[in-house]
Amino acid sequence: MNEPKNYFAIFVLGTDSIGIVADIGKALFELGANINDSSHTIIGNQFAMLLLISAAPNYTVEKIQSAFQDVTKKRGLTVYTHQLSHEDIYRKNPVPGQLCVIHLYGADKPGIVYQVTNLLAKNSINITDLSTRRFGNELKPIYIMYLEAEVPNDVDTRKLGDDLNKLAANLKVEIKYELEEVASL
Amino acid sequence: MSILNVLEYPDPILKQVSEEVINFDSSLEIFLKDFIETLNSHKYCVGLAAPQVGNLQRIIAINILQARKPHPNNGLLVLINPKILEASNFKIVREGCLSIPDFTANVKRAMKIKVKFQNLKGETKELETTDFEAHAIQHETDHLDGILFLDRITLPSSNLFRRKQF
Repeated sequence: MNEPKNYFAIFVLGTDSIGIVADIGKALFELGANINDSSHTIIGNQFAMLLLISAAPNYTVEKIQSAFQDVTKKRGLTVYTHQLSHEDIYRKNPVPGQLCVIHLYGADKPGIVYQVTNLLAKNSINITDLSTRRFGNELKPIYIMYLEAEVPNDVDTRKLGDDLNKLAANLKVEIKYELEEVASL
Repeated sequence: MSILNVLEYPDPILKQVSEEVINFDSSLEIFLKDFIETLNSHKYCVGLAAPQVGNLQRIIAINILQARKPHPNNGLLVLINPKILEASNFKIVREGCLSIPDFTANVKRAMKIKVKFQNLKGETKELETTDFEAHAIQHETDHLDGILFLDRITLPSSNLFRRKQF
């Protein structure tokens, strides 16, 4: 369990098609690597996957890249492998703050993502998940954003709420936010 | 009094269904003392279920006073044979569990519940509660049926953006 291992982050990008995940899983299984954490989504028609894998100490970036040769050729994928240092393997989260969920929607305009995330960054709030979609009529596109963040316990959440409301008024979009203590049970 | 060891998944006890408490005797009282001491020994921990300490009886303890932030609460609650009669006002909230360390997840919980239970003397009572306390009671009641939050994980972002292909 505690034997030394090498850890790698792998990023996979390409046109979506059925069986990509199975092919990636097969390549890693045959390589003898372990998928620790992974996340995959489809953006537009692009398949995008991020994996954190572990393997024996003699595994290198080159060895892992070579395991993907067949699948990259077959499916036209871009695969990027990066070796991780020890501090990049586990998320440091000494004091779980409050969970902040922000939903935003409205007519699209430049700067929505920037202004919301800049407000959070100024308040030392760490974004842990962000998804956006632009859809609807090309002349009047609609923008939707879903964001999850960790709010440190010492942040003035009333002021943060006021600032988000002001931002919503300035951008002429709807912003709904919820702040929740993460229940320790 | 002593602090009891909290079991961690994949201990198979955590997936078992607990038994109804029938005897409200001194052994129950002795267990409850250790059980409450165990709950209160974990900083910020607001609830514990008996199976988490290896006792497969339908007993939970809730203490919202231990939360980081103030929430409406009824102080220390010991609910024996709890049964949720009504649940409404569902919301996605995030929780962690002593039995599943270092991991939190989003789950759907009712923010308003009515729960029937027995107290230490075996008397049947009813409690209506909301928000954080309601949330904690549901998590702990789940433990009595061998249900972990891993059984209830939801991904709000994929729910929000699920749409038809065009």
